[in-house]
Amino acid sequence: MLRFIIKRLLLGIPTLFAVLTIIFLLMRVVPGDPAYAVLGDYATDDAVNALRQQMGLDEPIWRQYLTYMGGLLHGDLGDSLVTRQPAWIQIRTVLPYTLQLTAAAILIALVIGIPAGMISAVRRNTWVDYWVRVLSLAGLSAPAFYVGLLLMYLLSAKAGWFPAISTASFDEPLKNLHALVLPAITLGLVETAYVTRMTRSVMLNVLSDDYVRTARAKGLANRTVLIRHALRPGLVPIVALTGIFIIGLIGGSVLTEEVFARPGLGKLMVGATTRRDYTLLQAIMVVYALIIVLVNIIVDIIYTFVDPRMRS
Amino acid sequence: MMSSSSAAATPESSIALVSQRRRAWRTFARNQSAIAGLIMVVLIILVAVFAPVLAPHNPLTQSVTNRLEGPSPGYPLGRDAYGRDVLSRIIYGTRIALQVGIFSVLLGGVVGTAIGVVAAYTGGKVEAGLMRLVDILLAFPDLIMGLLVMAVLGPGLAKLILAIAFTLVPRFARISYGQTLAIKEKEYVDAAHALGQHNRVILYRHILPNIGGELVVLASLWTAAAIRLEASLSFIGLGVPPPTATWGQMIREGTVYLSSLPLLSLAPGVALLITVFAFNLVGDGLRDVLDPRSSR
Repeated sequence: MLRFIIKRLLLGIPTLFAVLTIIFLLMRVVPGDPAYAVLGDYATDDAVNALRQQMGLDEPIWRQYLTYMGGLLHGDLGDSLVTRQPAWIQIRTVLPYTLQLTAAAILIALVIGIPAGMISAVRRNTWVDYWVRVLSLAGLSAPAFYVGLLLMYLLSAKAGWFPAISTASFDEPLKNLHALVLPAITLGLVETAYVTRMTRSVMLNVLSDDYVRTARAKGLANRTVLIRHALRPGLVPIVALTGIFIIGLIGGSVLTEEVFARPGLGKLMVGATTRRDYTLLQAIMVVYALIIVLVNIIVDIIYTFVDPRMRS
Repeated sequence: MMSSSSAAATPESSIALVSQRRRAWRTFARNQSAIAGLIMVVLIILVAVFAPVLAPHNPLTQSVTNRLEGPSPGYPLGRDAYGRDVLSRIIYGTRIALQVGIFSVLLGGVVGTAIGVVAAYTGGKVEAGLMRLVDILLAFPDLIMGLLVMAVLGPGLAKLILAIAFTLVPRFARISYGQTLAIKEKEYVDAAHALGQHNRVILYRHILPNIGGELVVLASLWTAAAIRLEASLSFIGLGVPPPTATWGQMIREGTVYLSSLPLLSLAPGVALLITVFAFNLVGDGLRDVLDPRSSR
């Protein structure tokens, strides 16, 4: 098992390398000059040249690439163009907020989504199934920012239960959790729709398998059949789909943070985009890439853990 | 030039195709929610086409003295912060949503399918390289990819279509790649090779028709995703620039007045929700046609 984990980690290195290269190339095809983009169209030539030099844009592209990769190897994400501070400082302050939000959302999505999907599959083609399907499709159709807005209108503007703008530091745990509720429900509900549909289709497949019929035939109670014989093998494909689930979650977190003006990686990224802070944007992309590659490795490891057939 | 060699085979295969299509249509038509979705999609397209007729006012006409007025008989959904008619702006917003949805899926579909089919068909280093790239691009959320491309390209309708198509290319490539690999091994493709048919003929006659079904299903589901992504990017402020009416931007502008005039942002959201939901319903219905096991 340990050998597998080490092998999987090593396999992640070339992937990460390729991802970082793609990010570098994407950031370099900016039409026009990033220096002009930062300083505006009326900047003097001297100012532009100075900034170009500072950004390293006057060097040939292969040297820029080497500097960038070399920096990353030393854990240097570069400096923000706007604040002139290391990008990592800004990222480090907001990262815990994003992690807290996504963790809470995952919890909500799994706790609601898996039972809902199972019930829907078991009671297939009844009105329960019908409603679960319609609601989950509606959930998939609603972007996180709109769900957030609706909740904000109903529970914050109308009922006044929660703050509309959720900025509360970790130093005040109660306030912080209170501010977490609406964003977490927002992101959680959107992801619940995905988990529900995924569980439903996986369970439909499992329920039509021979061994489930055998378990029923030998007279086991319905609940035993479901939990012992259907849910456990069903978990394997569910784990395999977790990677996609996490990807959706990251995209949703950007919108959720934007709606609730909640600090986080997504909010920082949107800010960097509108302020044309290309180096900060690049640094955030690198962090996202790291998270995504890491999540995929972890999912793979869990997957082999639940399904021993994969170990070979 | 290629039809003469197989003229005898054409009638038979077209009969089989027709009956298959009819059966598929019957499965689809039996699915009530899919039909409801199809009707909604047709209505939405009609709204977009006849926007100038349907909209009671010009969506861009401002009136500072009437800004932020609530609903009234002439302005059923009220007026926004510039005094523009919200209903007319929602109706015109349909045009942007559909244009982006349809054209980005067409562009992404053609490029992505080409990449997938070429990778599966050539094999070797081309295959390994292309699919590795596709997998890496797939690992990123479409919102972040779209945001990055928009940040690089700058605002505008064509650029927005390009950015969203870019997020769809790897998805189409992955699916068409897998499908082509499966079909490539079929006996009739071997037979066509043995008969000395050109790769291009095999591609158009055997491969593309056989992977087309799955691609059409995904195209309708991904049109929904593309429209949702367009709204999300516009909401962030990276879509078609103002004053053009887009749903995402209307929602964003309305959030400031959420407690006083909730319709400003909630109403365009309903339009967005209905549109995305309709395309999803159609896609789901089409999927059931192809894979009956998935639903019933």
